[in-house]
Amino acid sequence: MHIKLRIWRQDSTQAPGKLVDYDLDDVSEDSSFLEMLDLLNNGLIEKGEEPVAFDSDCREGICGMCGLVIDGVAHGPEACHDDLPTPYAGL
Amino acid sequence: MPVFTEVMLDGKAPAGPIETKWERTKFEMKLVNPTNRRRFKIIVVGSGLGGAAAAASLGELGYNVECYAYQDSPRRAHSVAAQGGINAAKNYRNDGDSVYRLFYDTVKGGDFRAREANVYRLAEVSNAIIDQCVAQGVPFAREYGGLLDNRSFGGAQVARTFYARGQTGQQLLLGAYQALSRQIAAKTVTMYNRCEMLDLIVVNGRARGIVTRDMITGQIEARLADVVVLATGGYSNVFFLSTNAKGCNTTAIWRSYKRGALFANPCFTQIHPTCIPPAGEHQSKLTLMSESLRNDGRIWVPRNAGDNRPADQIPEAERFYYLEETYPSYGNLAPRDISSRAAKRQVDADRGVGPLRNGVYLDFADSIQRLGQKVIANRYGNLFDMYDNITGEDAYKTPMRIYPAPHYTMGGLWVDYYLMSNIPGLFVIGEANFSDHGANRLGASALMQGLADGYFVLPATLPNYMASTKLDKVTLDSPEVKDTIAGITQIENRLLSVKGTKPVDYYHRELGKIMWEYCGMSRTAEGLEKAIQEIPKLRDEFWQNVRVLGEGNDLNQELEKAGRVADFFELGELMCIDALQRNESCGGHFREEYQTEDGEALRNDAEYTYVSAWQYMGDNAMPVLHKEPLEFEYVKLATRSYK
Repeated sequence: MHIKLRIWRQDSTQAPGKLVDYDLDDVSEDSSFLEMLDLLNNGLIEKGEEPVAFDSDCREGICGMCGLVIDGVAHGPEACHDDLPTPYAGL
Repeated sequence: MPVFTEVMLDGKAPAGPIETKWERTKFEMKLVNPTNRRRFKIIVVGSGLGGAAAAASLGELGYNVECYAYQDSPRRAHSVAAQGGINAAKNYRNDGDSVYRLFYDTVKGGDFRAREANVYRLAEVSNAIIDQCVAQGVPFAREYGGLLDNRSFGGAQVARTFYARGQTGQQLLLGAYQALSRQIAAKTVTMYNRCEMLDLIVVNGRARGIVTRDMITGQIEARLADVVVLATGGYSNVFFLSTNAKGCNTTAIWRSYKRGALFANPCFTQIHPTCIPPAGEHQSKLTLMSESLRNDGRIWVPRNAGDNRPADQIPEAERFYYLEETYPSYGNLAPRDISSRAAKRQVDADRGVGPLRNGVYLDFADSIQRLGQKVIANRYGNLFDMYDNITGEDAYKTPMRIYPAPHYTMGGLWVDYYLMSNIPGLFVIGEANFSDHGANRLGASALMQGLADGYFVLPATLPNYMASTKLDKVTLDSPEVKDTIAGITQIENRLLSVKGTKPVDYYHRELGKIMWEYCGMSRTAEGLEKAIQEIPKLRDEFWQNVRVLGEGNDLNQELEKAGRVADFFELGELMCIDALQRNESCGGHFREEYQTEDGEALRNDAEYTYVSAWQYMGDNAMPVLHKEPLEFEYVKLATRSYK
């Protein structure tokens, strides 16, 4: 599936930040949100652009390491391992 | 082939009857006077069950402890993800359990490749762990009357597993984390989060500190101490896809190996039978479904190869309950190595289920009919929810699909009975060492070992080392310290300067494919030789073509990953060398050339009843093999049968 992302990018805590648009094609519906970000990052690296920094560890909804804010809501386990369509249908 | 030394390694297990070894050792070891303890500085790397328990216990004793974690909080350590439970020989069920039986089951479960004295001690302290955790307030499951409940795990015919729904590891870790937090507040323990150990500092042959990288600022620093304790977990992520957290890595133990610590039984890896099968190339990790589910779930595949009807359309007579049929006395609770290989055989024979035909069923229909859905939900509710979240399937209605996945590594740094490596002052505990599980770990024994080492064994053995050793003064200006820092900076610069074309993940995934194909659930000499050719080629390509953007002196997650993957390449090769050297099948190490007529593991006790401990000899040199002979005085060497 096709996904449009607007991600807050900031070089450091002091640097000014901004929202950057990304378009992703061919995302598997079985991907989790974090796996979709892996796909984005590996694409960015191949293009020579800095990947998006984000925390994650267990990726099964128990450690509490991932701290993404998606559409204004702080997401934990859902972003971590749910299939994409479940919480983000229509994005 | 590798060269080996004729000098046998000594595990230093005390003499005397096995029941008295630990008590006597505890009395004979030297103590440190309470007023002297704060003068000793101890570094603990890792904050999971082993690390947090050790840091908290040593802090409480009065030592000056520093604890390091790569996560943002100690409570994220991967012990948090352990689901099913923790074993102890309490015999609350009155079903014939005892310390001796837990010891016996663990030695047999490990296929006679563990040190008897260590395993006995583990069984002996298991009961104290439960008392300790209950005192901390860990909410173990209880029966209606209020007594602690138990369930059964693989490889045992008693119910000795204590649990907190499907989140036992999390609850135990919160207990250890509370104990640790109390010591942090009391200033006996200083906690360093987001701080990763990258090397071991060895001065005059003794471990005297570590080099760390602050993962926010990128700053590389030396941290000195009198003793270093590694509690850094296992290396299943060498397979890329495993049930381990994404950050789990081998760097702390691998770089200690390169400083002279022996690496024992690297090829002994556990492939857990019940994980959710991979769904495609995007997959970043695999998810475990607790072994406890096999208490109430029945494993089956269609009896006819190629049958692709949905589960509910396959009549009872055409279902093959292969574990129940092949291993009637243990049934669905056959040990992990045996259950995993059995699943592989079915999928290889085209009896796999699911869209990719890469799984087997774990079916709860009978239990739900017998006990009702509510009982099943009480026992495993969170696991059913997790399964639903990941697969979109309701396992109360259709059977779960499961398949084996890399989960735990029995191998690790070699330690003696006192949990000290061959480098004096370097202690290794929990999954990071090799000591207690032989060639196969039984379910619910990892939590037991981590906490046994951290709460009870290390706090007794470590003071003995300090009380009997005169340590030289080491300062940050010592040449060994400066050299170690320089080495780490050099690795970092080298990774950043490749400026190739492919991301780190690409190489990690490719390495994982080689490891899974040739050093996974079954192995052959031919396949391993091939892997030993292919891994260095891929490693060279990695060093010539990996692309790590950004700087070293900044937050840089690709740089963190690159360093870890570089180590996985080297470890992967050693695993294959070890697997090739061991011309037998035992536990999780299954060499196709060595099997019985029924396809079971065929050990070669005459030639391989030893621990293989490898010594690093240089990046392009063959490591030297040291052997620690194993003797079985109590549990007599016998063919392991669960039929």
